[in-house]
Amino acid sequence: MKTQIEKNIKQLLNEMWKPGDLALAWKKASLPGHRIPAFITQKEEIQDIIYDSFCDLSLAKYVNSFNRKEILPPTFKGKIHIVCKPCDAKSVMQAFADEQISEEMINLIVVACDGIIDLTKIEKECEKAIESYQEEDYVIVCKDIDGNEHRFDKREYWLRKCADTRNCDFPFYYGYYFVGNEKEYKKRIKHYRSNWRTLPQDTMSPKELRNMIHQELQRCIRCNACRNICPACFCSDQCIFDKPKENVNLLDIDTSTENTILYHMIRFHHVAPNCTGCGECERACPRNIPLHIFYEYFNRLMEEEFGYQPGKTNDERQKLLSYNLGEDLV
Amino acid sequence: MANKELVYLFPCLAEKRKKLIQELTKKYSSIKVVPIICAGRFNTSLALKLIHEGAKGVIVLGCEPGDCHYREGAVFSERRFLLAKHTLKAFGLEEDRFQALWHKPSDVKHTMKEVEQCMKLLSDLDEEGAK
Repeated sequence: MKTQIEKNIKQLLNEMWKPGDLALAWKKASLPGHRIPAFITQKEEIQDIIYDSFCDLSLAKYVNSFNRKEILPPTFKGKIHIVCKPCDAKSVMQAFADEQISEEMINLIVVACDGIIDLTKIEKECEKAIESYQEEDYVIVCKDIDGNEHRFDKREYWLRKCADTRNCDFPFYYGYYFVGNEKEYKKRIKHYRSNWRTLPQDTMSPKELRNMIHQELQRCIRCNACRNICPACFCSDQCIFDKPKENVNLLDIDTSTENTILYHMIRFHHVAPNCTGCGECERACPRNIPLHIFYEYFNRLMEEEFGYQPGKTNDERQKLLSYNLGEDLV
Repeated sequence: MANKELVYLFPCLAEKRKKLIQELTKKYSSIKVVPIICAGRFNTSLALKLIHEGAKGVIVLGCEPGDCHYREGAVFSERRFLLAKHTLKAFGLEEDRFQALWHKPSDVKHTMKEVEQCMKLLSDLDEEGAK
């Protein structure tokens, strides 16, 4: 089923397209219900774009790599059109603020997102492999290989970040193209916007928390997926996790639990000032480690202690890198 | 690998603090001194690693904001240290194990007092942990 938003995206791209442009959006993958990034270099390829509640991938990660010219296709000489959900658009804004890419190169197309579905939750509910997914308003209909139909209410199977609209708060003053009804969207996110969730750090004693973290991170295999998908991780050539021996020997390569805890400690500590809470690390994790207990803690810390939200502006340097005379220290 | 009985002390511009370091090492055998150039240059990941691996504590001695030889070093580090403390808290470690002290290098008496307070706090933490 083609959604209205999908049609509008295609129409907008067709109107703006000039030869030599590059567009980033989603297209169908071979697995049912999965979407993969589409790199569009020809006008004819715009037809392949798809947008629905299964587009869980954030395309913001690619923005950081576009500052290296060799990654771009040889025909490229114009603008990059990026189709974003509001939460991913925040990561793009943070890339502008961190001077990862010049704003002239990018054309933001923000989509009025209506929540994204967590496929792993649905796959867990259906015992057998699923052949096809269909979306009807707020109901997801899926057929498994035996032909049985399962129906799910979309609002119960959202991604964690979509369940509260804290992340949907894109800075609307900035120049962008909005696909969908903007007024309705703003009203909706205002209506749902909730307070910070209570985290284990608030309720547990340090010892309990340490035991819990030890148990969860035991599963970590140090595949670096959380680092590779993170839009805030952009020290591409100098990452200490790639070259442990060349830097101070902070981290060994072996994957003992003590080492993986230290890995996550250093990573979250390093990424905290520009983490927008997009939740990609948790989604990409092959071992289902609940990484939200860390990034949500740091998001809250940034807002409450440092008084600034990553991804809210395109020009504010992060607080740990800037200081003006006379400013409060903390 | 961190030694479990040691407190790691990172004084900046160690030559200015020679007298202080001498007195401290005479008084406490459990202090290991690692001189650094400026507190602003201190990599907080190192403190996280030391405390995670079981060191008793980490103390960074820096100059008061405004007194810094490199002008803004102490200012940047103050924010970064706050973040490091919260990282410890987020991962279930005691945030008090990481201490940063700001003072004038010449003021040896005052600094001694502050370091003593820190050492007392750290030993209290160990007793709580034993319970």
